[in-house]
Amino acid sequence: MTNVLKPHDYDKSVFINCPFDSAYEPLFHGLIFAVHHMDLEPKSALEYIDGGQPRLDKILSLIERCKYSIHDISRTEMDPNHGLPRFNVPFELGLDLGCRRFGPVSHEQKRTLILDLDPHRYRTFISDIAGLDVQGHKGNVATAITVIRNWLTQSPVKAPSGATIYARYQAFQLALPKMCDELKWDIENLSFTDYSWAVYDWIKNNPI
Amino acid sequence: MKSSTTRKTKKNETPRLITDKELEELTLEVYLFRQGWVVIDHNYEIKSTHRWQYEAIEKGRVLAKKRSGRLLIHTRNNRVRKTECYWSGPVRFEPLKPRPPSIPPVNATRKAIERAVKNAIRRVNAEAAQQT
Repeated sequence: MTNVLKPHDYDKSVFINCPFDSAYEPLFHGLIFAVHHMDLEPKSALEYIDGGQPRLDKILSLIERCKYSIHDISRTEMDPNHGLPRFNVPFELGLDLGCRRFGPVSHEQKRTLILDLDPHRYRTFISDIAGLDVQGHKGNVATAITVIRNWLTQSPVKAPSGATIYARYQAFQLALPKMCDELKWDIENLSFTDYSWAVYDWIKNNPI
Repeated sequence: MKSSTTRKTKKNETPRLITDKELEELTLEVYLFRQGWVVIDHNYEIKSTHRWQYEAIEKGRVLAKKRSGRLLIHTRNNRVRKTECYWSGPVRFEPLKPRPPSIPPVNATRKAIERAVKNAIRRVNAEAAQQT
């Protein structure tokens, strides 16, 4: 079945641009959980199953339709097989910044968060982004969730603390294998949309 | 005639519930746009344009007070620097509700996922109760 792209709210969508390898998966899942917990909808290039559309078109469409975007540039190591680094995330970060600068006036409100292992490491390899919002997560899910929470919150009264969201994320992780058992899902290969729905339903059925 | 020091709100006044939609409508924001520092409302309608940020903040405060709303002041990088609230009386925010993903699930129906989630929560709670 082909997924049809439904319109969604610009103000409530967060584009997550990060590596998709298995080593990064815990952080990716933490980011998805934190974004859902902030009453926003995470979006990723992984949500499209349709192979007919070029990947760049999907990414451009997401950049255009999300007010918030999170770019994780922490994966700068050389690929062990080819000896070359991957440039996808910095490239898409550039597209996002270009959209804010050259797009219509409404895009001037776009908000961009750049994540790295350390908040100052970027100066050695991509110093041109100096002055933008760069935060460090040290490869730690709890830190990443707190950074996301602090960045997305606009009214301190409304959102629970980063520590509370992380505690709830851990509780969700306990329930996840049981959900996968019942649904006959492979917990190691969850699709973005399935995981996103599981998070949404868990938060909805397990309020604070 | 009441004196100006008379308490304007009741001592144990029930907080007014502000929903997300209402909160959005009551919010004004100070941003740096191409044309300068602007005060905008939730529809991106520019209410006023200023050369300096402090002028935009002053104007935003006046407008926010007038509508008993909220003013978000952004930095040059679009980060929220300060939030100022001008509610009349105590308020309570609508509890957070997660937004459903706009793309349907791939490997199960929504109902099946919801049922599985409820069962998983029940099983986790039962296991926790057994341990204690």
